[in-house]
Amino acid sequence: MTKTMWSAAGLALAMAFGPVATHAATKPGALKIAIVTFFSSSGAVVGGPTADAAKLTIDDINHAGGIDGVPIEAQYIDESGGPTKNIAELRSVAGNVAAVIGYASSADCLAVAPVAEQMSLLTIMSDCDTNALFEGHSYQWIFRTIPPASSNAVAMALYISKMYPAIKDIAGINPDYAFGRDEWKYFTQAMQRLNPQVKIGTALFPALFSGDYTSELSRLSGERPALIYSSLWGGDVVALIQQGAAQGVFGQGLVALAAGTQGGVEGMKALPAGVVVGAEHGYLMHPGRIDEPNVAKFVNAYHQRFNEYPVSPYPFTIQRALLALRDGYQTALKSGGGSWPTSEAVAHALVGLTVPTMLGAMTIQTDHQASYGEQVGVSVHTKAYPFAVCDKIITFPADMIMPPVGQSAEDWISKLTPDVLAKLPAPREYNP
Amino acid sequence: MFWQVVSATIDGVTSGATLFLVAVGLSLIFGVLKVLNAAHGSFYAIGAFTAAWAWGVIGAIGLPTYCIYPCLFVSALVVGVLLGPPLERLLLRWTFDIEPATRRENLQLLATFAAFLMLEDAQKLVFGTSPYYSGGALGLLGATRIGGLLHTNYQLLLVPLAGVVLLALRIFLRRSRIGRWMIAVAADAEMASAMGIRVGPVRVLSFTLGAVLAALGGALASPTVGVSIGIGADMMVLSFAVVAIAGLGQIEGAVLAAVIIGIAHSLAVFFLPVLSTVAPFLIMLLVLLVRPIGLFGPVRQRSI
Repeated sequence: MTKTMWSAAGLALAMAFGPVATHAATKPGALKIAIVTFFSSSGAVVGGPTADAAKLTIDDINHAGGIDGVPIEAQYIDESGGPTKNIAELRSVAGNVAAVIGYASSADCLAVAPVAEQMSLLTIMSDCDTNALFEGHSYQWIFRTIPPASSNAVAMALYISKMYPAIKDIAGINPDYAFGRDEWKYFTQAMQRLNPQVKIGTALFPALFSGDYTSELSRLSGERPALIYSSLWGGDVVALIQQGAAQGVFGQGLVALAAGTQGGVEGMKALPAGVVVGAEHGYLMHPGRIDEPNVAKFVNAYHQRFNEYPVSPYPFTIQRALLALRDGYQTALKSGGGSWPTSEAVAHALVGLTVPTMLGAMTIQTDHQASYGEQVGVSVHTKAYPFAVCDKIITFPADMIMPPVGQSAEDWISKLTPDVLAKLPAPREYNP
Repeated sequence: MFWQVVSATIDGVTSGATLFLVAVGLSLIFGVLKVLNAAHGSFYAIGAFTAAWAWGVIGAIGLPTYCIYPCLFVSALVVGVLLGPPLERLLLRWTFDIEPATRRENLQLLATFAAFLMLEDAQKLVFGTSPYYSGGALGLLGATRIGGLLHTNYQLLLVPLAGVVLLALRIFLRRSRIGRWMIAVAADAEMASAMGIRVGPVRVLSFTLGAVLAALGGALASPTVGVSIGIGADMMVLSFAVVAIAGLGQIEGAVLAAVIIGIAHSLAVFFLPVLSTVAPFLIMLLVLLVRPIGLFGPVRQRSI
């Protein structure tokens, strides 16, 4: 009996200190990380491009010598199944990996963050953008390399207010969870600050991944709002585009899709022209940038290897997260005088770090949130590609769409005034 | 306001059409085999995936796009005929002689649920885990403006199609020899056997017919929904609700119940969106509270 008690106590102690023990600073043969993204269900349109681009980026990093000679080795985990399942997966890999990158669903990252923090596991959120992650919480081990949802909503509001100033009323169809509700809240708030005369109409919230929007679209098109705003993403936005096209929704009034490029090639193929598309923070098919050497190199390499174009934001978001990890390690290596850093040192190095990326420098703020711009454009079909691309793109710099560190997005948006519209950069037109 | 209600009703009736096909298959299987088929949702899902896959193939080969329409029916037939007989013979045939009845029913439910789990994984193996999109087929037939709102002709056509299926089923069951065998087996399998009807083949046929109907529901629904993992389970729950409202084994009742559920969902989207997912089940709850055997509850002499 006593023997069992002592071994049980010993086991408990070992488990308590286990995760810390694996983060000891001995140079590993390979830097093991886990990449979590959607490989099944309606989110699967995220996972394919994410994994593909991750493999491409990791191969590039490893060919260039890895991190001080250590190659990155990634295992891929399916995010489908909900927050509880993701917490369980996180716990099971925590002992084997130095960092976890990924999470596209805001629900999952909100659930996983406190658990990862408690386990002292370095986590870089590459795709979930709910403001709730960092507003009101401060983490040591959690980072995010994309702007928050409020940036997207504000960028959309600024774009529409500037390019379509006569909008009188807005209706919305957004997924019924944190991200969808936040997007609608920030967008309507910003629109009302920028256009005091605009009226907010019907707001519908179908379940995430429901896939069938015919009733919702019937209702909305019956009311004929001047603008329909949707933050549906992944497979849902593809379904929305296809069903909306069949029901003639795109012909009457303006449609704005905050996550328009997230339907990937399938979504962009079905998208009619003239739709306001949130190209977010990683539009690689930007007609104005696609000839830049770094962008062209990545797009061509991606196309050659995977026979598809990186139309959605995911290839670039996972690349930024991986580059941030690499740069964090390299900075920590330097400040540690060349000895392999602990995860704690890497986390410390990430704060305030500026990471060069192919579309511009990204800085990680003191609240662990990345400062990065966003792009919004209008869809157009060209002969160059079999899918729609974005025209009249305005690239919003981070300080125009993100609140300063410490201020909540809602608070910051409530102080927006219409004169900011005059300071917007001019839209870039596509001239084939 | 009036036109909004009209539009919601049209949406409800069209979505009720595919729901009816799935539910009537479930009812038929229960009527003849007395088995509550928990794998029924999988027939729907696999029918939908096959149809969506066919759409992709049509695009890839370069066939004219209207070829999808006969493909929908062919997919349903193929799926039903490929999956129905093996499932019935391998999983259910040995359960029919088990007594007492409660033990038999539990085993059959477990067996069909096991089949559901296996079919879900088989579906992932065959079709992969990414969603399929055949929404392009939705717009091919054009759209009609009713009361200012555009409804796709494809969805409008689903209603008379469901009506044709219902009529064909009625005629088949009441006028053809095999149909009457099915009714006989549904009424009393032992007696039917004593009268010389070969119960085994009748059961296989009924199960297959039910599977084909569910797969047809899936194939016809595939252009209107994003075909992804999980639609089988969702449809399973809804079709159970339809069958519960109509009464197990009721075919004509299933039409009314499916339409009621479809309209309940659409009206909720129009007037009380927060209730839209729950509305069908609220109706089911109300019906079962008032009349537990369903609206058209089993008239004991005839189950189908």
